[in-house]
Amino acid sequence: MSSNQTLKTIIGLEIHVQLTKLKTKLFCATSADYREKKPNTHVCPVCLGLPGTLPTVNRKAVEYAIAVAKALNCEISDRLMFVRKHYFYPDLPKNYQISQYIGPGFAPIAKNGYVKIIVDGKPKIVRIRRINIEEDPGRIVYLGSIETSPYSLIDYNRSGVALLEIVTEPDIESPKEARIFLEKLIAILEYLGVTDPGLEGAFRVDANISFEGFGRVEIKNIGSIRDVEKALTYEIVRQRRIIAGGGKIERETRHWDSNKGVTISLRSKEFEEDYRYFPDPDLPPLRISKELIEQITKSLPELPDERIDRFMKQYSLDEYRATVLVLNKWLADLFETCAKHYDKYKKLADLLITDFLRWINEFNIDYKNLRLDPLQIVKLLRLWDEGTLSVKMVKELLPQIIRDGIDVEDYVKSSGYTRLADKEYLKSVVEEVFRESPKAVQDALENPKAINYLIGLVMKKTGGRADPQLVREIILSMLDKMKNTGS
Amino acid sequence: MLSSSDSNILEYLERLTLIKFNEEEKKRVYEEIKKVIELFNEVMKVEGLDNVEPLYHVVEIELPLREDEVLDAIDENHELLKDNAILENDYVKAPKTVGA
Amino acid sequence: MPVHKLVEEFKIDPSKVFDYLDSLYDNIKRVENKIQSFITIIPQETLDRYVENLIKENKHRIDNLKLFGIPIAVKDNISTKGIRTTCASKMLENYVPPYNATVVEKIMREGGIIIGKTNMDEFAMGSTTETSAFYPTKNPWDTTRVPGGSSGGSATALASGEAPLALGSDTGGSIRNPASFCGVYGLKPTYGLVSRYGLIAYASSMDQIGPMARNVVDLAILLSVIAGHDPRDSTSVPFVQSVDYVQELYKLYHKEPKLRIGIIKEFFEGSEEPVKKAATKAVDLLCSYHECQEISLPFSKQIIAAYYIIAMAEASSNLARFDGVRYGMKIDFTNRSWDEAFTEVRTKGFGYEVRKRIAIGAYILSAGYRDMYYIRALKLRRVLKERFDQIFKDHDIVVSPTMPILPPRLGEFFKDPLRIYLADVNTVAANLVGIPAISIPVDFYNGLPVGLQAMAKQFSEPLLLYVAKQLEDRTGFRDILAQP
Repeated sequence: MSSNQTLKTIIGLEIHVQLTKLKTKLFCATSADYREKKPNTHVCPVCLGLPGTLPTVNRKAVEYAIAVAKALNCEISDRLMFVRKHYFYPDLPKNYQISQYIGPGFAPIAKNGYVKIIVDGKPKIVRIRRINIEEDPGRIVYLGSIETSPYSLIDYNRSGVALLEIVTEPDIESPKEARIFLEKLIAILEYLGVTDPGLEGAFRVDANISFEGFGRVEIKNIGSIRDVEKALTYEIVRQRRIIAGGGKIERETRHWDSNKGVTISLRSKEFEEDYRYFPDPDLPPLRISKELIEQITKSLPELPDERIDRFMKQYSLDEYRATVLVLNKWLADLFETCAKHYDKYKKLADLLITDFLRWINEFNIDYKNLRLDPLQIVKLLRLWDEGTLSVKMVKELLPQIIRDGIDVEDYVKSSGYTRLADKEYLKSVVEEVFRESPKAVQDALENPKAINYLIGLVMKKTGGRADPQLVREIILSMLDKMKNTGS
Repeated sequence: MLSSSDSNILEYLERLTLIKFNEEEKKRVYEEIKKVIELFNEVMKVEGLDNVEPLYHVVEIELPLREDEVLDAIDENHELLKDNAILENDYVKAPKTVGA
Repeated sequence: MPVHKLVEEFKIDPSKVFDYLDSLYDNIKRVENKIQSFITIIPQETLDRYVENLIKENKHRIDNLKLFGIPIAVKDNISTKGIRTTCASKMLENYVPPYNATVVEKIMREGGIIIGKTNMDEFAMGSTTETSAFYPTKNPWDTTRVPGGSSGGSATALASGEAPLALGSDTGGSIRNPASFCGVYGLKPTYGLVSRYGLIAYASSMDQIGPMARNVVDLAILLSVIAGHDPRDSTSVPFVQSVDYVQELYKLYHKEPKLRIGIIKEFFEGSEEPVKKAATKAVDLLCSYHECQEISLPFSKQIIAAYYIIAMAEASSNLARFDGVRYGMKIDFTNRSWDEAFTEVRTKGFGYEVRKRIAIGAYILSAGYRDMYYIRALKLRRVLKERFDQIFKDHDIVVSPTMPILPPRLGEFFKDPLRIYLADVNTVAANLVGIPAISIPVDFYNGLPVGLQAMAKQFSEPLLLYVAKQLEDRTGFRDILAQP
C-alpha cells in the first residue's frame, strides 16, 4: 500500500499552560501555589463555586495573556470578554468553565498568530488560531484505578488556577514537528516568565490527528512534549494499519497511557458537544487599550528568536548551536556567563550542548537545583587549552564538576591529575614498551604508520595521562637512533 | 422551533441539563414549554433589530481588575467544606467518572 | 414604631432591644402559623445572647450604628454564615453557608440583627411564593390569597409585624410585586448599586438585592446601609462608595422640586379596573403638584418575552452548579456514575418550575437557537434601554401600577403558568434596563392593597424616595399592619 505511506498527516494542537508565576488564582485572591499542599486547603468560596459567589479577574493574568499573544505574533482583541462554557463534570465546581469563545459577538483575547520553527534545517510556520484565558478545574484522584474505583475524590486546590489555552491551526505534519513546535512554544513562555513548564501538570496538550480524507482523532491530556511525540507516533501507526486493512477511522477521543505507551478509546464523538456559550453576566467586558498593549510590548524580555539571532552574530555560532542553547534558557544563560570570561565560543557551546547536557540528563538533575560555579567550566576549558588536561580528562572531570562541585584547579593540583609531560619519565616508559614488544618496534621501523600502535601501548601504561604529542616525539627519536646505529 | 414532531427535544434537554421529568410531568411540561416558546417568538416580531448591538451589561462599566495579591487564608481545617460536603482523607467524595 | 425612631430609643437605653424582641417574638408566635413568612427563625435566646454581645462589643460606638438593635428578615437566597440558606429548595434544605453575603456583613456592621430567613419562590422563580418547596406563604390581608413573590416572606413579615425591616431580591419584580400585594414599600435599586456577592443567583444580569420597609424613611435607612461598591462583585459600580439616602431624601423633601412625571399609558390600560382606579387616584395626588404627561411604552409582550428569555438562559447556567458534591442535597455516590448521580440529585432537588426553566434556558442557549432567541432578546434590551433614555430626557420619573392585578387566590395561577409570566409586565422593564424602581402602597380595594410603581433613571433612588414620601404623607400609608 504505497499510497498509504504517502497520505498526508494533519496535526493540530491545543495546549493548556498554567500561568504558574501568578500568586493568586484567575478569579479569586486565593493562593495558586497548590502543589504538594494538603488537598482542599487552597480554596475559597469562589473557587469552590459556592452559591452566591462571584469572580474577580486577576490583572496580572490578563497582562500575561497579552504578553504571550504578542510573543506569538497574534492580533489582540480590543475587548476582553469572558464567556461561560457549560459541561457537567465532577471536577468542575460551577459545572461551567469561565473561558472565552471565538465567534460572532464574542472575542478571545487573541487570534491569528504564528510561531516560526526549523525542521530539518528548513524554516516553517505553525499558525496559532487563538488564545483563551480560562480557569483550571479541580483534580480527581481515584481509589486504585479509574475503572475500579467505587467513587472519585476531588481536590479543589487546583480549581480556578489561571490557564492559557493556545490552539494551533492544523499545520503540523509529523510527530517530530509537533515536538519541535512545542519546544519552541515552551521556550517562548519561559522567556516571558509567565510559567514554569517543568512543574507537574503545568503543561497539558490535546492533539488532533488525522490523515487527509479520514476521520479525526483527538488525544486528550498528554503531559509532556516527549509523550506528545510518542502518542502521535503511536496513533499514526495505528491509523495506518486500519487504513491499510481497508478500515475506517472513527471520529473519537482517545486517552494516552504513558506507562503502556498506547492510546485508548475514551468515547466516540457522535455529535458536537453543545457548550451553550454566552457572555458571563458577572464580568463586564474589558477594553484593552492600545496603550496597554504598547506598554506590555515594550516590557517584553528578549525572546528566543531574537536571542538566537544575537547568539549567531555576537558569538559567531551557527544556527543549530544557537538554537539548542537558546531553547534551553538556563543553558543559554550559563553560556553567556561563561562567555564573559572565555572567548572560544564554539568550543564552549560544544561542551555545553554535548557532554554537559548529557551529564545533566544522566544525573537527572533539575537545572533549578544545579549548584554550579560557571567559572569551573571556564577553568576546565582553559586547562584544556593550555594542554594541562587532555580531552579525555576534560570529559572525565566534567561530571565531577556537575555532581560533586569540585574545584578543577585544586583537584588537578592536589591529585596530580595532569597530563604527563615529564620527558624523562615518559622516556623510561617508552623504553619499557620497546623491551616488552620487540615485534611492534620492528613493524614501526619498517612502516611509519605502525607507530600509532606503540603510542597506544604507552598511553595504556600511563592511564591515558601521557601527552601523546610528546610520546610520539620520543618514540620517533628512539626509532631514529635505532636506524642510525644500524642495528 | 418546537413542534409536535420533535418530542425528542425534551430528552435532549434532559440530557443537556441532567434533570428528568417523570411521565406525569412530561406531558404537562411539553405543553408549557411550547406555550413559553410561542411567547418567546414574540421577539421575532420586533423589526429593525439586525444592526442593533446586543446589550449584555445594563450599567456600562469597565471590568475591574484585581491585583495579584493573596488575600484569602489557607483553609487548613476545611471550614468551607466540612458542613456541606463529604470529606474523605481531605478529599471531597464525588461519583465515579466512568460508567458504573 | 418606625425603625428610625426605634434606633434612637435603643441608643438611649440598649436594654429596650430585649423588650422589643420580646414583643416581636410574641407577635411571631401569634401570626407565623397563619402566614408562614419564614423558613428559618433564629430562636429568641440566640438573638438575646447576640444582642448582649453586640452591646458589650460596641459600647463606645453604639451612637454610630445605623441599625443598632434592629431585627431584619432576610430573604432565603441571601447567604448567611452559619444560618441555613435554602432558596426555598429541597436542593439546599440543609445548606449552611460558610460565608456572609456582603449586604449581611454591612447590616451586621451597623448593628442590625438577622432574625430569620424568609420564604420565597424556589430559587426566586415565581411571582407568588407558591413554588417554595416547603410551603406557600399567605397574604396577611387575606390568607386565602398569595402574598406575591418571589420575596413573599419578606413582604408578609413586614406587613404582619414580624420584622420591622426586610431584604428582598428583585430579578423581574420580586421585591415590588410582593410589596404591592402586601401593602409595604419595596425598592429595586439600580443594577450595580448593591453588591450581589452572596446572593444566590437567578439571573445575574438583572438580580438586585433591595430594601423593604413599612415606611419610606426606613426604606432609605436600609438602602444607605446596603448600597455601595464591593470589590467582590465585578458588576458593582465603583463610583458609589456610600450615600446617606435619608439625607438625600430629606434634601429633596424640603426643597420640594416639581418633577416631570410620565404616566405609562399601556400599563394602566392593561390593569384590572380596581387597580387602575386606585393607581389613578394616587397619580392624581402627584399630578396636583407635579407636571404629568401620558407616555407610551409599546410592545409589552415583547418585553416580557425578552425578559424571560434572558432570565431563563442565565438561570439554566447559574443552577448548573447544584450537583450534590460540594454542598446541597446528598445521595450516596458509591458505585454511581457521575451523570446518573447528578441527574438524580438535580431531579429530586429541584421542583417542577425550576426544572422547567432550566430546560427552557438550555434550549434558548443551545447551538442554533442562541442567536434566534437569546441574542435577539439582548438586542431588544438595548432598544428598550434607548427608549427609556429617551423618556428620561423629558421625564424625571415614570409611574404605573406595580401589578396589573390584585393578589390572586392561592393556587389560582397554577392552572395557567403563562398568565403568571404576563402579570410581570409592569415590573420587568426596570430589570431589563437596570434602572431603580419602587413600589409604593397607595390604597386598598376590598381590603387588598394596591401599589404604585415609580421608575427613574439609573442612580436616581433619591427621586423615587422623595415621590414615595410625598405620597406617604398624602395617603397616610405609613407603618400599617395587617391582622391576619
